[in-house]
Amino acid sequence: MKKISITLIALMVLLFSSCSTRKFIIEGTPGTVITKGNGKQLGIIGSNGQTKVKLGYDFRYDQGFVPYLLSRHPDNPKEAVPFALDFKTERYVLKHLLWAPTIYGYEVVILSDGTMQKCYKYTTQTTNHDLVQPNSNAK
Amino acid sequence: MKYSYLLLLGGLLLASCTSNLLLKSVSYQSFRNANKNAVSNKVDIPQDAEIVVEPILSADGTLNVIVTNLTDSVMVIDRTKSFVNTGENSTTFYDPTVTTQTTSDTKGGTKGMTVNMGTVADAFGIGGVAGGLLGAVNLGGTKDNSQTTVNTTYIQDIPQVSLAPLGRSDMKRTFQINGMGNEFLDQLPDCNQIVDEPRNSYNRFSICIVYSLNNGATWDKITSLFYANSLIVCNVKERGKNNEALRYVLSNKPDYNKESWYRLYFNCTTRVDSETPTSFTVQDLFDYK
Repeated sequence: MKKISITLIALMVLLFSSCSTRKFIIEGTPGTVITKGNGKQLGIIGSNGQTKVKLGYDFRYDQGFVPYLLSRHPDNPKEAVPFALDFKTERYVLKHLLWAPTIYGYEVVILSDGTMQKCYKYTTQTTNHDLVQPNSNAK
Repeated sequence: MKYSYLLLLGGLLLASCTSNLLLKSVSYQSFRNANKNAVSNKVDIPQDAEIVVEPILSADGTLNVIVTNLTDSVMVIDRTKSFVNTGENSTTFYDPTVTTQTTSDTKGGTKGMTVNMGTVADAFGIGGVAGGLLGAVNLGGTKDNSQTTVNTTYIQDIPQVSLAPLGRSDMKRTFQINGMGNEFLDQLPDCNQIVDEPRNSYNRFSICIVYSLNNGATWDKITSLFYANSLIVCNVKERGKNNEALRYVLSNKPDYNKESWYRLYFNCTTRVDSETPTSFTVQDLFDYK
């Protein structure tokens, strides 16, 4: 009984700790600055055309869902172009409960149907500068 | 028994991570000044212009108007003859409705009560500004010495406002504009309306401001028409495929951020990161004369 209790508590701690920040890749033109909606800088795309940014997704703290980020192209740094963040979820059945928390980068929840589901994970994202006219003036 | 508690605790902990995470849709709206000869930047307003009118559109679909006096004279605005026309009806900035605000203050003992009511005779005779009256009418008596004082304030709208030279002021009345705001956008299916002419727009409103620069000796007016020139909504089709919806909006409106007034809105159904506003709005819509 004692061992079971300790195992469950350890499991809960692992589950809890898994609900923290996650890194994911953003691809774009080198030098592009990535910020949050309020302007807080998260990263700059490097010469390899990628940067890793860290975002939290945890409702227990002050970290809610991030629907989009902004990117500032080096040729036009005053113009912030939004790109929405894709995420994915994957399901596991209940038998995977014991090992699911050990998978880095996922969070685990139990659904009402009795199955398990990884929490949401932001996926590799590309900026939207290809869609925006840099020098147009529609006014 | 302890085992059951642990299971319950575990369930609660797990449930704390559960959420219906969804971005439901991405929406975009923009408005323009129908006067195509008007300049698009305030710094380009001609030196001899007298007045600037700015509509301020909010996320809940309301309109406020700000007027700027560009002259070195005192500008008087007649609110009884200045209007907002939303297409369905015209409404003056002056609101003839008289409203009241009543507050009460009780002092004294706790046994029984004596009430002093304020009289409000001739309250409606007060013109133009808010007035307050306080009176004393004894409605009853007990052995107690407590007193309740009722203060009634009558609030009446102001028919005219004065703007100092180079002054700027809100016209102090809010109008509801149909066809905009979060509530409106949340209910829309996918749509893509981009128009060039005001007559084709789904949403138009005009503002008429009557003003005088010589203390009412002569009156002039500015009438401005604004119209929605785009409305794009894309609902997220597949859970987690958020950027597809945003890319749909941007690809249909590549000059999205060059409009005088525009709003890009992310309709989220879950709690959003505190550092990420769910919409961003650019308010640079104005007209002048």
